[in-house]
Amino acid sequence: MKTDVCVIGSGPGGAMVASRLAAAGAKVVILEEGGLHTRAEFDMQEATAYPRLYQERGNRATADLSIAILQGRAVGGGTVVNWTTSFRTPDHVLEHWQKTEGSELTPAVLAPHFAEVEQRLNVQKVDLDDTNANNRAVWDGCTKLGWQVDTTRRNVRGCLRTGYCGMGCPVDAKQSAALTYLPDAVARGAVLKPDSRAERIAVRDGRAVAVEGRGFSIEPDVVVLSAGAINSPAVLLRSGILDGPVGRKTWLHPTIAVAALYEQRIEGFYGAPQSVASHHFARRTEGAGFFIEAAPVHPMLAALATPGFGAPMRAQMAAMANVAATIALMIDGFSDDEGGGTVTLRDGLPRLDYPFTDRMYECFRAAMKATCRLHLANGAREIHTSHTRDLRVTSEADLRLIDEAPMGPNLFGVFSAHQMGGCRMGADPGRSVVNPQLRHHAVKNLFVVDGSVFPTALGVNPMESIYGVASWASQHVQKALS
Amino acid sequence: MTGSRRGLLKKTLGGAVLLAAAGAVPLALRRTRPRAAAAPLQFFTPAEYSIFAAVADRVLTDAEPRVGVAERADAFLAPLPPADARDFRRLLALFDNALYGFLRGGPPRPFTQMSPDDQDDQLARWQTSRFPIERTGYQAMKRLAAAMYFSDPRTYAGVGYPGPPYELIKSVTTK
Repeated sequence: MKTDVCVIGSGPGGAMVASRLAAAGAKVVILEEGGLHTRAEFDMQEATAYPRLYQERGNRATADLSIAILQGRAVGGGTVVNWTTSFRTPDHVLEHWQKTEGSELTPAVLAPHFAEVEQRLNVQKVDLDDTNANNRAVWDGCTKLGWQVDTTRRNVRGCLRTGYCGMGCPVDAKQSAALTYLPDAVARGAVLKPDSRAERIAVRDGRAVAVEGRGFSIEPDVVVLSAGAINSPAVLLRSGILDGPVGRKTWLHPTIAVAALYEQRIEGFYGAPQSVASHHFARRTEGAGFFIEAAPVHPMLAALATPGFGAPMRAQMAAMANVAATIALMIDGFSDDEGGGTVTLRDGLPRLDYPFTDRMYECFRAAMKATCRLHLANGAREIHTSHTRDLRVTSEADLRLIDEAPMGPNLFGVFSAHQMGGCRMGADPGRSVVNPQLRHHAVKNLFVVDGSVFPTALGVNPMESIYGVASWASQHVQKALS
Repeated sequence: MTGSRRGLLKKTLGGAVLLAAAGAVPLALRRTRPRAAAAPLQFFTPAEYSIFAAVADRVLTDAEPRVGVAERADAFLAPLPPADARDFRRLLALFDNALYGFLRGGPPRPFTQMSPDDQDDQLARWQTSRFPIERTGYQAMKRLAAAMYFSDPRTYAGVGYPGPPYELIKSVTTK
């Protein structure tokens, strides 16, 4: 099958590029390894949603299981299952990329793209009165301590605040790519192929000549790789396109959680899952920064985060309705000596290693103490960290337990819902996989357009950044066509 | 809710030695105590089923209601990629290996033949072991058992979760 553009992946990056190019009159084929799922299938059950809508059936993790990875896999990619939190890329992050990698992205360059995205996705700031008790605890705790905190912006229209964003919105309130940019693309003639996994990109004489998978071969003029961090580098590795640090410097916002037990019911399973965030600690000088948000409290996810086993674990689970779950996300990638994660292949599938370092331990300890403090200030009865051996905090004095507890892989829970890097952009082909316009350094008709091109983590939830950068990059893809 | 990885199992010298020990001593002193599955098995062998069912019993401490955690895990694991499946099988074999357990300070019996207290001791040893390989193995088994149990709607009442608000959804989607 011949076409102008083959887009691999239908998450925010791929959906945006497909929509822009189809609008410009290009013939576009979109390949998506996941299925096409609609609201009627979203039954709000974890046992159904995670195997159906997440990578590796909800099983994705680093090779040693020390970081559990939540990553979408469906038509619409992560936008189908994320918690709707919408931030523009922080200015200082763009400045850092300019300085270190020769990035062309500035706040002014991206502003019109973000404005269009926010309009299309109906991104609106949350009213404090609409936050649930789980998020309100973050607001109140931070406020009492004098820490920066704000409500977030969300991409929803007619949201019932049921609390099930992570399992697919059952009422189509979440303005995912599957409801916005992908239909836009299809309306302009793009062909969307669900359940179609790109195995490899065939290259001849320095040009991508075909995208191949089981039962199909697409022959495009231009290939846009938008399979997301972890999967995009894996596609390049499978294809033997090994130029630059492909797979290296993968960033995850490695995330720790605390469970704060309150006297009253919190019911963190209902209500918009994320509506408050604090960036008070985002730019720490003593180590890596982190930011604080809430996480929904549904039984399976809660059980995975609950330490221990047997009767103690069950006792904690029995109190689940009274728990506020607060997460702190480490902002990785801003120190020169950080290696981050590395994607390699195992039997053709991506394998991710992300060794823990002292910088991470310092950040995790600081983040655990900060999140405990905000709940102590807010009147929580007790707070449990994510240490494998239960660590309970009931007073400021108990915070020393966090410093004393041994740290190491699988001695405390860490997860990631934000995957970035692995195909970083930059002017130096020795340090990057794609150039500042997201064109591959060696394969000239290949672009990578997704979160994998980010040279560092963002310090904010990545969806809107991916959309915005993809909107900007579409013009460069279009030029390559002409 | 997660599998194990061969890469990890073989990553450390300790891991390689342990795998060799497990493989080199067939039946390693004692056999797995068999247990009958309530449904035809899709992933586990009968021995693997018996091991995981014994692990799940201790992770969940015979929690009521009984929801067939090992059977649910069997169905969940059925589509696992071959390499991950191999890892998980090796993990279960190692966990029930009497020689290995004995060398690591446990009684000279397979996990499936131990008393509940000894089983809890072995889980606790793996949970905070100085060998990363054991901690990974513990997490793989514990998370799988916990995920299979707590994602079953029959367990919702026990954690104070009323379940999804289907009536609210219906009021909107049927308009």
